[in-house]
Amino acid sequence: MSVVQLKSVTKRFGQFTAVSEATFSLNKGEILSLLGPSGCGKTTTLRMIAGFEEPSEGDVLIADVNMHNKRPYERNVGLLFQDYALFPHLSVKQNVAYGLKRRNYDRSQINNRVGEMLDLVKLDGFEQRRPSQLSGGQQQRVALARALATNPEVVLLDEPLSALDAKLRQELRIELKQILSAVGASTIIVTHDQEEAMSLGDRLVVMSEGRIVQQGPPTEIYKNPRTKFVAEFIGRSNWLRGVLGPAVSNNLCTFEVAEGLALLVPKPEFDAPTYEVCIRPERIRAGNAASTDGAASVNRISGTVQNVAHLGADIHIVMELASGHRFTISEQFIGQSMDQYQGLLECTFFPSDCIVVAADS
Amino acid sequence: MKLSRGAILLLVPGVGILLAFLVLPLANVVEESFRLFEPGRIGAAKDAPYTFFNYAELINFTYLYYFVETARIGFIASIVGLILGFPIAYVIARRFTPMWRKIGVGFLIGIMFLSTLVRVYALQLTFGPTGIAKFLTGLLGVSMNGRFYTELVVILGLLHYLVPIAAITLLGTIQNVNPRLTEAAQALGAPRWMAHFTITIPLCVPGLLSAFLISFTLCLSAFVVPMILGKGKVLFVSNLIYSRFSEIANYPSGSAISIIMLILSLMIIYGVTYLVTTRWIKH
Repeated sequence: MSVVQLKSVTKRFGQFTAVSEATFSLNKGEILSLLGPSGCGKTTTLRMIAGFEEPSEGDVLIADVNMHNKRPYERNVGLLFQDYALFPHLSVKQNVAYGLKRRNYDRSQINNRVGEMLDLVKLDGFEQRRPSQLSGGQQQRVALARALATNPEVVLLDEPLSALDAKLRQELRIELKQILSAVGASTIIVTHDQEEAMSLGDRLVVMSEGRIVQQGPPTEIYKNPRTKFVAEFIGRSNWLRGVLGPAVSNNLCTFEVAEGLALLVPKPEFDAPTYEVCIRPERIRAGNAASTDGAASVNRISGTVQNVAHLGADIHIVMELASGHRFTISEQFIGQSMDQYQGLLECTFFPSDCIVVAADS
Repeated sequence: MKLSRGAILLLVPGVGILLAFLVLPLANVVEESFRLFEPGRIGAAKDAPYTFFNYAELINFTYLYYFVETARIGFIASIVGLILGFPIAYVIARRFTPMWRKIGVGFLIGIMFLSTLVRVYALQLTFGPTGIAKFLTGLLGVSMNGRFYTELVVILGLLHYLVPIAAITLLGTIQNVNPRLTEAAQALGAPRWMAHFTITIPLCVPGLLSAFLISFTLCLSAFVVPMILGKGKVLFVSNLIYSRFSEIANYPSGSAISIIMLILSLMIIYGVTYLVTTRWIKH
């Protein structure tokens, strides 16, 4: 059963179309990440679900009820703002109790529910504190407890972790996911951070310039991005533009990039004037892999190493191919010496590691 | 606190002028208020004996009435000014585009620069016996010479500058309240009016307090408005002080009333501030 459904929702502000024909649904208990660069319309989409903006066209359904002209307070939605929007003049307890009071819970019910919520976010004993007396992470948890207290149909999180520093963000990401699945909340997370979107979301909806460009499970989108935008936005990528050559087997064909540089790639299932091929840095192996794999159909490239950056668990190697293309390769660090990554380096990758997309004209 | 020589040099002129033209004359008023006045003279004689008579004289229902009336009407006008000024400030701060905000603020400041005398006579024309209000009062059966009507016109006169002052003072306060807070309240189930009463207004209490104090002190020292619009029926302490000084030349009595007024004003301001800060401003 879908908790939230958007049916070709369009939002225009004057001449500007912020969201165009957005259609997606959120299933019960699912976490959906709405991902896109800033200005892509993801926050506007969230605000339309919450009821702060009314769609210009299309329908928003929550629990199969059309939300047309329903005010935010007439919808059962839990909202977590980027800056948390905790009420500074109220204590932690009063903040969490705010929504319960509006729903006419009696005193003992409110006390029980607030206790339960603060227990859930591990903030018991903080009832009487003011928001200003809490750390950023604690404030975020209070805001989450406040949003979850009223048992909302859907929880909407607007860039929930962006106000925190990198280390805390990682910790809280895991905690956030645990809390959300503990209460079984159906959640929509808006974020521009692909790691956040992938680690939190059961499903991704990728937006660009007001349109939904692809939706599906994170792994699926990472493996099979449908456009160059999606491939570039989610993960790192190397790009080659070229002409599709003759088929060599049922599912492979050649791809001519430049003189002396041809690859074997999966045969695309669509027609386009020009194609581009994306190869993820971690799928390329430095050194001669053919000897170990023995596979006949392997792509080989070689180039001059320009830069080697050891980032801890990963090593990033930038090399320039004879054709002038620059490639980034990511190798796992397992104690090897950096000396092997210099001068002329030979690399291999499999045809199945090549993602073929239509080139932007 | 240790001040450098340069800082002291810079402070001397300001402090000097303050002493010479504010503290000294005020001390003079205090001294005068304890002198014995002989009717017929202009002010007290140079060697007049000291006395508490000027103060003792004020413990009298007639005089007390002036103080109570000034405070009462001032209080009503200040509160009404806040109630009217808040929505104006809110709309200018939240709903207007930056250009309209400038125009709005400019308009409010413009009203305040208009001469008090001009505004008061404009009201007098409109609400006096020759104005359009005559028709309305006749319709409602309110006497234009009655105490209620006069008081209403005086309050209108005060509101003429209290509303813009309250709105301008509250503008900054409202701008500092995160607009996400009312949205958060709405998402939690509070209708808009409830979100404003439980979130916006409590967060504006410090601004409301300063707007009230500015309005109230302006009311207490109001002079032209009650003099012209009060038509002798509604008189403020300022008018009483004026008549003491200029009409009967009883400087000692006028001084005593001034000092009492000063002390009362300070007490009220301190009392209101104390009450509001301990009750509502905790964070």
